[in-house]
This record gives sequence, structure tokens and C-alpha cells, in this order.
Amino acid sequence: MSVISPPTGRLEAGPATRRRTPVLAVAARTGRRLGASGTVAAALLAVLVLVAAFAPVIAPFDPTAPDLANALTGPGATHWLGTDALGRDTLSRLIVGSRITLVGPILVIAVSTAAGTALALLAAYAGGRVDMVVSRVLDVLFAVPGIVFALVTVAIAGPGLPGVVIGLSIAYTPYVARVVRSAALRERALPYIDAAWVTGRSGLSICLRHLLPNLAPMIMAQAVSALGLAVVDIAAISFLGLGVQPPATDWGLMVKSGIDTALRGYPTEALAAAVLIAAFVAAITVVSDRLTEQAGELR
Amino acid sequence: MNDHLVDVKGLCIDAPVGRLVDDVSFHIDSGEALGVVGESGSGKSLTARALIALTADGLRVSGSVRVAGHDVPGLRGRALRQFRGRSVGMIFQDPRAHINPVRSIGDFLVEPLVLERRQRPDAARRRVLAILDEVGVSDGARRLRQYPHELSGGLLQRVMIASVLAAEPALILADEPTTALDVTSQADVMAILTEQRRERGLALLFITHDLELAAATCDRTAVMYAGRLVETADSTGLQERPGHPYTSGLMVSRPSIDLRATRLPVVPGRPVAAFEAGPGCAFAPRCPHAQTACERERPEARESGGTMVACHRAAELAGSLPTTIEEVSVHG
Repeated sequence: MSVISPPTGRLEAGPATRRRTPVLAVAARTGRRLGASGTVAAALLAVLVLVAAFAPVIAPFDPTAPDLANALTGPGATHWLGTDALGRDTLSRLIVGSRITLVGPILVIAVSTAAGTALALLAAYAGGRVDMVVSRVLDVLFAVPGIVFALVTVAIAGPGLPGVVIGLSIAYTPYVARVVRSAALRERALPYIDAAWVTGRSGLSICLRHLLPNLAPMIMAQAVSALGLAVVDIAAISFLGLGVQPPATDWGLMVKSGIDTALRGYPTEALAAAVLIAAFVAAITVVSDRLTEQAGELR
Repeated sequence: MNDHLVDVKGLCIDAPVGRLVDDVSFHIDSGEALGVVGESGSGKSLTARALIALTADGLRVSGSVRVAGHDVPGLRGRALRQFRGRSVGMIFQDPRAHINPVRSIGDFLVEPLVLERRQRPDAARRRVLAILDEVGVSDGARRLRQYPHELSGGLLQRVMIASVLAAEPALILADEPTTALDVTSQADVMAILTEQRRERGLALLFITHDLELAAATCDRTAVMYAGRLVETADSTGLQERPGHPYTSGLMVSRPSIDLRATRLPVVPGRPVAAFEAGPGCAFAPRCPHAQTACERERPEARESGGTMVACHRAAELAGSLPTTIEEVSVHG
């Protein structure tokens, strides 16, 4: 056949070289994408995740063992961040508390993102009456503040992480669903969806194999930015004493218990927990901003 | 008569603003190529889309559309999906917009075979590679790993053709498949499409602005104006003896290699939509041969010797309508 294949230029080298890139090169490229502040924030998050993962190994003391002889000491050589009213090592409690502080919000975001995305795709794809029903239900959910939802589920399930996670997951779902729905509506109107229809694809297949991959960067960016909110919300509920129950702890609960000792002249616990929450949320926000920029560039 | 592969009778498509396609009837036999020519908004794409029930939600389709034994407007759910997946393939104008940008070429080509035809992934892959080779895409294995943005428009359109061929349909709908491409890839893509179609004995509905391209690649050519078919004829016959003044007007406004012209002849006025047309012939206000009857009464499509012309004066004008710029410029 006398067909000249048109040159495709330098892009040809792309996938072939990409496959063999060493880990360091990947890290370097990610760093370039995130920028300076993004890299610092991402590094901070990585450290937090590592600390949470190896918490029992890292923590210098048993975080739940009371030591009344050393109750309420300020920062010192043995107890770097001092001890609380029961003589428990504050640093160890912060380290071990990072686990629940991390896992709670991640669970909330995972559940609400999955549920919200599913609802959004259903509404955007089916359109018409289905879309109307889903959207009105979401509107009703919007009317209720997240914390109130958590209070209700905690009242039903009893204080503790499960009730909080269920409540906040429900509360976060409409936010995810609304954003994803509008993006999915836009995406659904694009010609390639028509083209997929013409090849006889089913609705489910179009949603999962065509809409979802195109929306993925946006959903990711949205999930990470909501993660910051979830951290604050869970900390607030723990602060109210409705979240994780002693002797287990998270940073929100430590702010609360730290306030009592702060009034007696030992502010380290409350300060350290509050600073960590703030740093965590700030890092998430910076990373999510970078991700959003990336998702925007992909459009 | 039901032995035509495509049999459209009295197809009308209505939008809230009014009628867009008005009483269109045509047929395509197995292995036959029909070119549909018309200006933008003349309803050619809508007509093609009606053949696979891909008209937008707000549009009402009436009339009979039979394709490969299926009553298309009546198809729903699984039956519609199977009909779309197996009986008809569609090639779109802009391949870049019609292939999912975040999925690889391999996914685009192999997935339908695996999902729809229940082929094993490796068998489907081999088949796709063979077809890619046939449509002139070199280095198929690497192409399958690439993404749409890494391929040129011409290459992507070949991938689109390959995807249609892989589904082994009886009919291909090609909606201006070369309009988005540059001239050289246009020629390549048309050559491949024609060659593969002939080899496989597939029927083709080819939609284009380009009267000559349609006549060169199709067995028969239909001309649409304002949502109506004004003329359907054997392609060579149409080229030599246009039966409708509009067809002749299109042909006369083509530039000529031999004649130096400062201005090309034009068809005066602007094209109208079906719902803007008066009670008579939609082309009458722009037609140099219009008489009072043309304004009042809508011309019926009359068939003679395989040629269908919808014009009141078809019989008088037959053979006298100009076909080239030279014929009109001589006394101009």
C-alpha cells in the first residue's frame, strides 16, 4: 500500500523511555511539579504518614501508662514535651495519636468520595428525573452542617470514631457529588461519549471506562482539599469529647485535655497538638492547591 | 420492498424551533456507497445520526428508518446497543474529539472487541494489529500504547476507521471524515476508506460538503437542501447531467483549473433551514429558473431512470443545466 505515515515527532519517545525511569527521577519530576512550597508540604505529609505507620516503635514511652510521680512536668530531658496530668508522655501521645488523626479523615474522604462520585455519575449520566431526585436529596443534605450530622450519628452509635466517620461521610458526600456532577455533565456532552455510544457501549461501561478516568484528576484534587476540612472537623468533634475515647487519643482530644493543664501553667500539650493540626491542614491545603493546578492544566 | 440494507422513508426530524429534516427518503443496498452533499445545516448529519438513533434528546424523529432489518426508532436498551455495536459503524469529523483523551489507543480499539464480541484480549489485540496494518498505521504495537494526543489527525482518523472495521458492521456512516484533516491526509484517508470498504463489501453513507469528493468515491450521490433531498442520482450521471438547479449551482461555483476568474459564480442568497422555507420549493427564492408555481407548491420527488429530482421544472431543464464555471462565464 502506498500510504505515507505522517511523522509524529518527538512525542514518540515518550512512553518507551518513561517506563524505565528510576525512582529518583520520578521524585525529581514530582518535585518540579509541586514547586518549593508543595515539596515541603508533601515532605511534611510523608513524614507524618511514616510516623503514624511506625508510631509504636518511635514513641519513647507507653502513651497510655500513667506515671503519677511525674505528673505535669514541663518539657525536659526525659520527657521532651513534658507529661500530662496523669504523667503520660506528651510526645508519645502525639506520635500515637497521629494514627487516628490520619486514619479518621482518610476514611471519611474515601467513603464520601466513592459515594459522591457514584451518585454524581448516576445523576449526570441518567439525567432527567433521576438527576432531579439525586440533586434534590443532595440539596437537603447540604442544609445540615457536617458537625450536626456527626452529632446525630454519634448519638446513635455512641461516642467514638465509627460514629464520627459515618456522620461526616454522609455530610461530605453532597459536596463531592455536586462538584463531580457538574464536571460529569460537561464531560458527558463531549463527542467522544457519543462515539462510545455508537460502538454500543452500555451506560455503566461509559461511566466507569470513559467518564471516570477523565474526571479522576479533578476528583483527586477535590478529595485532597476536602481532607483538610475533615481533619479539622474530626479534631473539633474529638475536642467536644464525642470522638475518640480515652485512653486512646488523637490531636483534637489532646487540645481539649491540654487546655485544662494549660490553665495550670503547662501549655505544651495543647500548643503542640494545635500546631500539629494546623501544620497538617496547611500541608494538605498546599498540596491540594498544586494538584488542582495540575488538574486545571490537564483540561 | 425490504431488501435494501438501509431503507429510509419519510424521515422527519423536528426540533422545538421547527422542522430540521423534512420528508427524506432514500435507500442504500449492501456494499453500496451513497454520498450525501449539502451545506452546513442542511440536515445531512442529523439524517445520518437518525440511522443509529443518536439524535439529541430534544429532537423528535418520525418516519420509517430501517437498517439491516431493524426498525431503528423502535430499538431500546440492549437491542439498540447491539445494533450500534454490530450493524453500523460511525466515523466522525474530528477524531481527536471523538476518542477518549485519557485512554490509550489500545484501549479504544481492543475494548469493544473484548466487551462486545467476547473475544479473548490477546486474540482481539492480534486482530486489531492486523487491521491497523491494513489501514496503513505502521508500528501498530507501539501505537496501541500511545494516547490520542501523541498521534496526528490523519493517523487518528485511521485509528477511527480501524475501530469501525474491527466491529465488522454492514454499514459505515462517515460524517465528514476528512473535513478536519489537511489535504494530503484527506486523500490518504479517503483512499483507505474506499479501499477497505470495497474489499469488505461494506455499505457507506458518506456525508460531505464536497460534491466532487462524494461523486468520486460513491456509487450514488444525494444532494440535500434545507432538510430535504433535492436530487439523488448515479454519481457519474449527476456530474454530467445535474437534474436540479441547486446541484447545478453548486457545480458552477467550483473554480476551474483552465479558466482564470476574478469572481466565482455564486448561488445568490443564503441557505435556509427546513422550517424557514415557504410552502413551495425551499430553493425557489435562490433559483434562477423559479416560476410562480415553485413558490406556491412543494415539488414532489419524481423518479426517472434511477434519478430522483424534486423540481417542478425538472423535465424542461433536463440536460440544459450548466455543470462548470466555463459554461456560465462564456457569456459573462
